[in-house]
Amino acid sequence: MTLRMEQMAASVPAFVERYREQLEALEAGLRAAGGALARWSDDPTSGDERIRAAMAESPQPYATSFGEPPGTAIDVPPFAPVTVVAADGSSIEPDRFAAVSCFVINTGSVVLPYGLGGEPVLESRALLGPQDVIESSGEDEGADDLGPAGWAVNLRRDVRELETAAGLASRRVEHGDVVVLVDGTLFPWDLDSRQVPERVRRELKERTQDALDLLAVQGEGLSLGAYISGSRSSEVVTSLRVLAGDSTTAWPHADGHLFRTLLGDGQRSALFRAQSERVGRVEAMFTAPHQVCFFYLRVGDDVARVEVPHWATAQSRVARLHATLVDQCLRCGGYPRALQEAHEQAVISAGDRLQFSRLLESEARRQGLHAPANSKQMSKRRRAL
Amino acid sequence: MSDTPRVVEAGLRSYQCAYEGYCESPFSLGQIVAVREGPWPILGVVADAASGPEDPTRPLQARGGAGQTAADVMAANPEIRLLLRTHVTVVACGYVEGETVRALLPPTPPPLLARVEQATTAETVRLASDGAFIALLVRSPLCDDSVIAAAIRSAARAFEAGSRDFTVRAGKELARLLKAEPSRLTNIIRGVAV
Repeated sequence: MTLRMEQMAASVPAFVERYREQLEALEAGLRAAGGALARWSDDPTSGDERIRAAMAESPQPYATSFGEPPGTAIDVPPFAPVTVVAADGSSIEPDRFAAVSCFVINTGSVVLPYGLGGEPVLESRALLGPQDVIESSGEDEGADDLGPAGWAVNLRRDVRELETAAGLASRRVEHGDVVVLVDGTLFPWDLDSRQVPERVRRELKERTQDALDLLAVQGEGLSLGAYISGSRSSEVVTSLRVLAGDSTTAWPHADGHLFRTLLGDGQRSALFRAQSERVGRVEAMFTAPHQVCFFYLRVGDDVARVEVPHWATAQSRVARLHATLVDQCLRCGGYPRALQEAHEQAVISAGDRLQFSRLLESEARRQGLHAPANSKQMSKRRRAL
Repeated sequence: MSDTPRVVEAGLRSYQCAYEGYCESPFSLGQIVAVREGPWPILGVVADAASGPEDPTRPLQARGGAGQTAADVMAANPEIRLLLRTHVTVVACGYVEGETVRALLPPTPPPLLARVEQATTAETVRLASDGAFIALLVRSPLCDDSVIAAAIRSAARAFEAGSRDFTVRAGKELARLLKAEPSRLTNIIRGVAV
């Protein structure tokens, strides 16, 4: 054991105590934020105006109201028959010590009909990439020479998740209502990352737009939610600080902290519109109907952020999403069952990673390729005294 | 989803086969089955069947409300059936070489992923007629008294009108094999007589 537990054990009590004191100090901030939220609910328009004015002077992310009084807590509507479609992804990042550098994206997907026709599906599809192993277009802003670092594995994975879910959902609407769930944010935020070559971003942006368009044309019977469990987002509390005009009180750092005190089990918050420089930058790549709205949902002790595109914010669609999410969470200890199973389909175990690495190494050797010797890596593998 | 199980672990004395998913009516205890792929068809007796989660790290929770049947719970949780598997353990007790059925261990195990099917009446009669296949079952640690009794009952059905004669022959073979274990012999004969 190299971590000296006796040293840690001596430090942990004081550390936890400081954390607890900080939480207690937030109580006043939570009360003040709750008061500001109530006033915002009384007059959402003027509250939104004050928030927009603050946005002009600060790069912080904010939220504005979106057709519902911001302080509303909405009870879970009755659950109705629905097919739940979900996708999640996992990846093997390029290994710079391997003879052949590559990545793997494994996309897990599920289709679970509840009281509707159609067969349930649990499946995964793996992709080996990049397609052009030694990529170089020469047209970029300098990011093309990043090699494997510029392959945008996370971004590709996010886009494939959305594409997979969209494809499956479009084939299920014939059976009745569909709720599509994706894990994480609605937009793949790396679309504006300078680490990703421009042409890769362009291609993946087009594919994201196509997937969202495919979902949008399925009609009123489809709801879409991007589910972020234990979100650390802070747009609402940042906005409330502006409305409270309070810069001295210890203020809650995350929206979830505030909504845990305001929402009962199964309740959702009002819809909000996400507003920030980065949101605007990524959203500007897409057509207006795909702009991001969100609400918070409390299930048990977890407060999840649920992002919804503008086109899916009709009351009936949000109600279906809300009821389905609560039902899904009840089936799976507080987290949507469909996302849990999609994750299980996607996850690449340590054994699978090792097996893939051996497969790649063996094929590279067969074709006369050898990994460049790397002393540090060799030393880690050897470990002999 | 196919309802024909396939060999997933193969040995000379026994093999495991699995259905693609959860099978509520797998091969029954003592049933005589055949793998017809590979150099020689291999005949065996079902010694065990078990169903459970495919991933042993994800145990099945006993969910479902009061009054809900298993079918109700499965319908309300459509993912569960896809995550379950049914496995069957088969003890090898003969193989076919040309026109001859030999009540001996096969020279090689069945091919992995080969289909496992019910043995035909003709195959069963040829395997069991002299009762010699019982010796392999008696010696197998996977076959307890219930398996042997069920296998004899299963084989007897194939003889139709001659089932009584077969059962008598099987009883004599058992008496020869188990003369040093009278209580085991009694248990098996009681099981055959059910």
